[in-house]
Amino acid sequence: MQDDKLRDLFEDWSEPLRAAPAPAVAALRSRNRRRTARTAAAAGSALAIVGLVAGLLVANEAGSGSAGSPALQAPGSAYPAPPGQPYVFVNSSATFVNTVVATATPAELRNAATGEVVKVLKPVHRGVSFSAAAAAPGDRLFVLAQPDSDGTISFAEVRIGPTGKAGALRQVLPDLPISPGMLVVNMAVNAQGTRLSFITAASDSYGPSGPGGSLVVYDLQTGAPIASWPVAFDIGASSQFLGYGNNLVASIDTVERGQDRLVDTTTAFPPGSSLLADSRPYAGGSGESFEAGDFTQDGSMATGAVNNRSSLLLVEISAASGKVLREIPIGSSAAEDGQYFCGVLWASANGHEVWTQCGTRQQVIVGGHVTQVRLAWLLPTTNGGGQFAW
Amino acid sequence: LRHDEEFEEFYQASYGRTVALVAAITGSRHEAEDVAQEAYARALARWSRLRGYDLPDAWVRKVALRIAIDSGRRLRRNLVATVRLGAQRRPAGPDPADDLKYTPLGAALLGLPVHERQVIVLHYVADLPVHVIARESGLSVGTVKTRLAAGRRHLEQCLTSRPEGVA
Repeated sequence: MQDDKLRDLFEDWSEPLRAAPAPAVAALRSRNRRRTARTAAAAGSALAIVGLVAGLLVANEAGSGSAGSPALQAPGSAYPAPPGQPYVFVNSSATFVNTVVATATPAELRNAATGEVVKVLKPVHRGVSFSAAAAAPGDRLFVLAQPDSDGTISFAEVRIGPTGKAGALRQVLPDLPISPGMLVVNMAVNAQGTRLSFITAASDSYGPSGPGGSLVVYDLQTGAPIASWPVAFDIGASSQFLGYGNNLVASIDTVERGQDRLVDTTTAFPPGSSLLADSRPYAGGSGESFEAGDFTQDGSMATGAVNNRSSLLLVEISAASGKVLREIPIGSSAAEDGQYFCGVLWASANGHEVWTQCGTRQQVIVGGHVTQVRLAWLLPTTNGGGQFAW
Repeated sequence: LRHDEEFEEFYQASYGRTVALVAAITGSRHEAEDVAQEAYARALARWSRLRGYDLPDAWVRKVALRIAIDSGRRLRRNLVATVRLGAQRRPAGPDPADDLKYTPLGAALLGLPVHERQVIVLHYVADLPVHVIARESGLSVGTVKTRLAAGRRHLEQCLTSRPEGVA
């Protein structure tokens, strides 16, 4: 076929496509806000990964009673999960939309269902706020990061006991140095509270990006460093622990590709080691990205909100096969106005129970059955990590 | 404000070209528009840097093709799910989003291996010369020429064996 003829064919074929009107730039900004909010929500999400021996977790959950019980607890844990609903960390810089929060109030732990303040958290150091937070699976242990003006960052933890009462905030790890201009953009803590991982990166006005970032892991009991891997990303990065062990999944997303890497952080890695060399692909063995914060705690599936023309769907994808398991409408695309969060608020360990919000519409989905609910608050869209942890 | 105006101008001027490019890869207009918008959203987030590039549209093109081609990525998977869901809910009439697949050229394109399709599309839809395709794709000029020739041959075979539309 002659080159000119082929070119004419393509010209005719693509003409109506070239005339496609561009949606308003506001729609692009909305996409970016949603991605940022998703990353922010993942920072301390109880969705916090997974994948470990699903059978162990399922057996544990089966023995724990009610289907509505949200929390898993490590076998023999001194901190069994309290009954009832999940807890959420709220930073002072964020507000629950329909709850009056006076300015300059410290961070809070709240009952996520009722909005009741369980604990008021005053920063360990005066004059600065918590900049990032992570919740262990079960939402009974929260670890908070606090940068200081002297170029260090400190970490503190607070535990919620079996009666639902929070203990004292106490500093963990010695103050750590952090380079100027670098931020903690993601944190994760394992179920036992023995490992803390966090990702640092430089930030510009559009959000954090690499190169120059690091994925750092510490032993929370001894304060010893476990690993510090350089990571480069420009879309996003997050880390989450699996089940009850020290297995960590790092999701590194770049324009070129996204990948999830699984690494055992039981023993320390020497300085200068490489995440790529020390880890192996996770999720279906493919090494492909499910993107940050999407796995259920037992690692069986990934969940995410998907725009399907006029509606938003909660899509559940098998982590083993990558196949779509279920799609559940959670709201209207029109609700993505940038004011309120759209997506998964919280999920139980095996994804049997999921809380969602899209705009002002909130739902609790148990075993695929959808119930419209009205929580005591509406989660606003956040423009950065650290305001909320589940 | 000036940055916003620059982006808006760039976006409006190049959006249709990007949609056409991606549609030639995916065969679906809706999917192409979603992928294109994702690429422009990422460009918007980095506009302070991209605006300094000689050819920011090359960056968008690269990102859009990555998203469209990398079938393992979540977005791609979700798009597949969305298309499937859309198909289940589709009324009796044909969905305009799928028309591209059922034109003779669209069907022939989708029959090409992805590596040939990408080169063909960059050459005939994006109007890029061989050396630019080579540079943007990280391929040698010889490889691009080989893939173009193979792609042309396969297209011709397909189009001549199915001269009438199949819609």
